[in-house]
Amino acid sequence: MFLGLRSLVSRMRTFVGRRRVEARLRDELELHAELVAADHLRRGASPEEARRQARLAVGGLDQLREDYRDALGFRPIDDLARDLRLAFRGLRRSPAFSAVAVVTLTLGIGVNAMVFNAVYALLWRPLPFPAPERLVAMSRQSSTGLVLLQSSGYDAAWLRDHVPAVEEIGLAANQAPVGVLLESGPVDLESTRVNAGYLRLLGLRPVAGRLFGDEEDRGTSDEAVALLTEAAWRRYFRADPSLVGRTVTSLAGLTRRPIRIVGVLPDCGTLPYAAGAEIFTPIPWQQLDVRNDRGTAQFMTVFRLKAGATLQQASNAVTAAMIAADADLPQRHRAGRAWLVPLREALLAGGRTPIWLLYGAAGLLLILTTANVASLFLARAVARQHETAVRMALGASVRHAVRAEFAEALLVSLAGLGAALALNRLAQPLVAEMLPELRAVGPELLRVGQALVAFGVVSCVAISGSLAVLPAVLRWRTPPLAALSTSPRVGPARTRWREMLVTVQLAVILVLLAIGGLVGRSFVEALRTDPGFDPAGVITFAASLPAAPDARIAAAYEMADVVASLPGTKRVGFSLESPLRFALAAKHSVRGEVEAADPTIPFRLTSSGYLETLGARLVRGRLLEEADVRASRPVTVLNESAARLLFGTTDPVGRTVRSAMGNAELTVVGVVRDMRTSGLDRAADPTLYRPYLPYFGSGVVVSVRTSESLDRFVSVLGGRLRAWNPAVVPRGAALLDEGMRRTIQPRLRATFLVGAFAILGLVIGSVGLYGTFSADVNRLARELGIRLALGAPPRSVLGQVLRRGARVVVTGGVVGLAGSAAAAVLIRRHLYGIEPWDGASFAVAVALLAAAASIAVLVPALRAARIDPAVTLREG
Amino acid sequence: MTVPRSEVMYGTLDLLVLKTLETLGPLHGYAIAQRIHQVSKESLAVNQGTLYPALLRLEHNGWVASDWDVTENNRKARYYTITRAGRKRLVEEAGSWKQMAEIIDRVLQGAF
Repeated sequence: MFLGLRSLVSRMRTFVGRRRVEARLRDELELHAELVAADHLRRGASPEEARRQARLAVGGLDQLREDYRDALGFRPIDDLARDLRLAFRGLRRSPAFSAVAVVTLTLGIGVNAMVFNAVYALLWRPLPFPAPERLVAMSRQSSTGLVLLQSSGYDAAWLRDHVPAVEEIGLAANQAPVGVLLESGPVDLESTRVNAGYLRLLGLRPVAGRLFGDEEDRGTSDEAVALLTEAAWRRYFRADPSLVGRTVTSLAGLTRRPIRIVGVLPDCGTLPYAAGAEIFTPIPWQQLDVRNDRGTAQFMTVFRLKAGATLQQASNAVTAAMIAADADLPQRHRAGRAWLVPLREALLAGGRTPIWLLYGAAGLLLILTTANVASLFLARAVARQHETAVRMALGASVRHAVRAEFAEALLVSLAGLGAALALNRLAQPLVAEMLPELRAVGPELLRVGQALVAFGVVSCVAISGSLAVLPAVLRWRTPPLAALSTSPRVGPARTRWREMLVTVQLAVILVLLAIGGLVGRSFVEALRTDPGFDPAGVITFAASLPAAPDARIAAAYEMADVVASLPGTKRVGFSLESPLRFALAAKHSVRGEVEAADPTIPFRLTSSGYLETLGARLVRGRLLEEADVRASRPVTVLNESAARLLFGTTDPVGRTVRSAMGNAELTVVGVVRDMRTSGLDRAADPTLYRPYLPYFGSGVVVSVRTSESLDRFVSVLGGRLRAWNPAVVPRGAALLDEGMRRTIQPRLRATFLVGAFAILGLVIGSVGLYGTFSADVNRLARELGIRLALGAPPRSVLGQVLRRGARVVVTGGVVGLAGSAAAAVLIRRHLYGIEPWDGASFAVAVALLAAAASIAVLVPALRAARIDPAVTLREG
Repeated sequence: MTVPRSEVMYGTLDLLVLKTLETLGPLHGYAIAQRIHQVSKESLAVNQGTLYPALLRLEHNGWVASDWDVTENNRKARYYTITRAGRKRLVEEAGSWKQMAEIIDRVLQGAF
């Protein structure tokens, strides 16, 4: 046994160093020949005789190589290598065929690889942290189905104390960019707040300095500290090592504050909830105030589970713990059921690109390109029919022929794969653009990895296998004698296969076109949806009010007056959050005390004039007045959905609603039309509009209806506000209707991608179709020539070719329609404003296909009619 | 699957090569062939087509070792040496040959 093992190892080593071994053999034989010659010379032979003897002695080199090879072993690999070499030479001899096949497969395999890579990066590739499968986040759901991913400091502390399966608690919160004063001037750094546990559980090791620790968690230190990312350190401070431990100056309005940089974080990938963050400040969550703050769910969570704890067990423990935590709260304040989700799910929440739709389209494209290349290979096999038949008659086995075809197909697909992987590198930034969800998880996950290469190689082998088997299967059905004839006639079996390949291609193209049409029309419908207000001409910007909470409302109105005085301003209003952003929410009840079962409804704190500025449409009653806001009266305006939810069909004006926030009893003064602020293609949430309250921080968002362009407005705004109060700096000015259009960007992207696949498919398919019919005409040229010579009218010849073509196209169309209907039902969820059996989309798809197919069939047909019988007969 | 031409000779060729190397020390391939030719009173002409693969196989199995060296005429050549494992193999193979010869002998004797 040992002998076998050692022999095997030695053989493998020889196989690897085979070039060396063959050189050695050559040298030894050379020497042998020389010595033979020398011997003969010594014995008195003439130099020519000596040389002849030498040559005889070392003759039969090939056989020797065979023997050597057997001794060296691994016949199958040798054979494959030889097949590949032969295949390469064969392909080189027909460059047109090879080029078309490789390009087609590059497109098919390449697109597929890219989409697969994107899906893999988005959904499965392990995040670049230690034991990523143990990273989870907490999710809570209210009774109305509102899902929250945020927690309060109290909840986090409770979990830490009561759920042993949770090993480490990480908290993160976004905040406004931190202004930093550099030598070159002020810059805004994207910023996130985190606690020490967050950095610990991600396994981060500081590149310089230290990470946050207990001191930052307790908030005991007086001075402000921060961590920089490696990228920011390089970009803004030229990686100056003396920076760590020094303070930099931060700007907030006009106030300057020193911040000490205590460490630099490594560039190890996108950090959860902190995509794009450059500077990190601590969350002092162990500080008593923060710890006991139960009402403010403001932290995103990431927990690390203990090794060995399953997600289900830990999740159940968390659910129970949170019920216990809320036990002493009045019902109206209880947040709802809590459970754990894998971190990835939390990061991807809210992403709306229809990934599986894209993957399906890419898969169809692969089928299309494979069928296309299959017909190319089939045509080539027909052309080489004679040669193959001769070889088989001389003793080559079927397996031999199949192996040769497989080698050719494999070479072509591997070339396609190689080109595709190269293109993938180039296209990566494009993919990141098309899939913004990747930003949350980390675009660096898109790099070409083992999974992608393995997937590519497997698909190549599979495709080559099927491509190789097809001609072989057909060969069985062709009588050898017919194959041997020099003027190849294609048997009925082969013709049927070719027609079937064309039919498949046509069907796939139709499905792609139809889906593209459906997706495109959904986008158009979404774009045309009435949002329920008038976003055109409205600009929003954020600013911090430099006033104590009691004076904030007055200050806000003053600021609004300043903005109103700008040229072009028609209407001004302000609110706590941007009109397009998620609002606060609380339970509301119409019956007195708020209970756990009452619905959680979003509410917006706004000024008077806010709804008017947005162009909201009043249905009943009145909107908020300035007196309501200045006096903080307990009034509210409902939107139609909220009115329906709380009061059904009765008129809500004059009735009261109790809000869990502050246990306030609100009087309804008016009802407005629903406003689709969360997305053109999403129904509006029920919403309450309440007078602005100053207790939620100093930031407000101002909405301005103006006739000025954004740039002009911004340039004037800064100066005017500074003149009023130099500490007020406007941020993030944007057009509201642009923001609305962005909400349907996923649809636009999907339309673009599926449309691109469809057009690509159409072009490839049309070229293939044209090629097939051209080849047919060429083949039939002789027969057609005879018929024309015998007096058949050109029209009948034309008719025959057209009839063949029409049959194929119609079959393809019918199959395609069936497939399209099935696909439409599958993607029903993604459609908007249209039914799956939308006539317009299907009609357009069929029309496009018919047009392309007609051209592909007509051109060869016309050529057929113009065949000169004399020429073809002579050539025959 | 074609049967290697020298199959018949494999067992005996191994033996001859090993014995030659054991007796004469390190030799290159041609010399081994010559020696076997001589010793067998010119009745065995070893074809280099069988010799070199055999040498490679012996090296694979660890019974001979090879290295480059220089001939008397200052020509680079590959010299083969028998290893300790080779010597052991030689003793075993020689033993089994003798046994085989005895058995066959007895059979032949007994047949008459």
